[in-house]
Amino acid sequence: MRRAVGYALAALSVFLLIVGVSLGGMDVVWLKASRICLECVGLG
Amino acid sequence: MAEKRTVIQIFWAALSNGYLAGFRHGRLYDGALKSFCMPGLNCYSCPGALGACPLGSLQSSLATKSGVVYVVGWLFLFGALMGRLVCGWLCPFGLVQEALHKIPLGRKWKRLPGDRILVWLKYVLLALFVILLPLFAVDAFGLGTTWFCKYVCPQGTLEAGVPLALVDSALRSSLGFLYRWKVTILIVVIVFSVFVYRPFCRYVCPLGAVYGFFNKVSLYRFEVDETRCVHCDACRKACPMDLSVWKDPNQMLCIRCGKCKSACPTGAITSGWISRPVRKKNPQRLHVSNS
Repeated sequence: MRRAVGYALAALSVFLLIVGVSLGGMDVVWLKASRICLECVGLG
Repeated sequence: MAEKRTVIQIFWAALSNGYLAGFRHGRLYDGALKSFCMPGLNCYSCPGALGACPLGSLQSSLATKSGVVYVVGWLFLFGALMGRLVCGWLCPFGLVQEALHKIPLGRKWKRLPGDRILVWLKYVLLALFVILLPLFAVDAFGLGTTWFCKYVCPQGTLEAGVPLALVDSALRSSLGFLYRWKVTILIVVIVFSVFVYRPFCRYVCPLGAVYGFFNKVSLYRFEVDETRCVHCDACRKACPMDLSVWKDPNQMLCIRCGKCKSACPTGAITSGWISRPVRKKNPQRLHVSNS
């Protein structure tokens, strides 16, 4: 049963990633991650 | 097992922060890999970081109300596949804490006093600093901020704040109270790590809290063969997180370091990606219930 839930969650994650990519999620993450995060550094 | 894990931890930490030119020039890597989330807590503002921190990305996407589905997809993927195996094997900050804990200084503790209450702190931080505040504490433009990164995360200070301040004089001259606050948190975590095993992972880390939710259902899992277990509690004595593995092999706090497997005198504890059926103590009863 738990293994089935694990497989279901893994499948759901792939679905979320596909939807997320189609909604431009990769660009959002890249935009944040490729510039210095002032909050992380302690300047925000 | 312990040596193999340490090698993998070091290899993964080096790979995650493999953009060495960034450390020299104080510039971040901005290639295509930064679109992908890494499994562990690894600040994307570290000059060497090749990928994005899933926790920072989650806060950022919630604060800007964009990209949330994509980041949650990564968290679900890592969680469903590995659970807190990520914490034990692939988290650079876990490696730092373990290295500090090896310093032969004073008495070593597995738990802090007030552990039963303190273990809930990471869930409070997850709900408040990672989800609710970035989502609802917004400015005039409807944008929030990354509260956990800004006020708590010692990994950001260690990997990004300190190295960037060292090489970037302009940045160094603008540092103020917030930087000192974050350095103080980092120092507290460093000091505690010398005496307590992975205090940040046990009490503070919201990413560990997220992966902990997946521990019971993830495809990589621990199992106890009840026909071989003699309930000697050797697993608990060996467990750095102080867990009785024979009672529940996939507890939310388990970072899956595997020390219990080596310590078990009967070899009752196994782990793997595809679980094998666990033999029950009373096979006749199992047979009846199946028929």
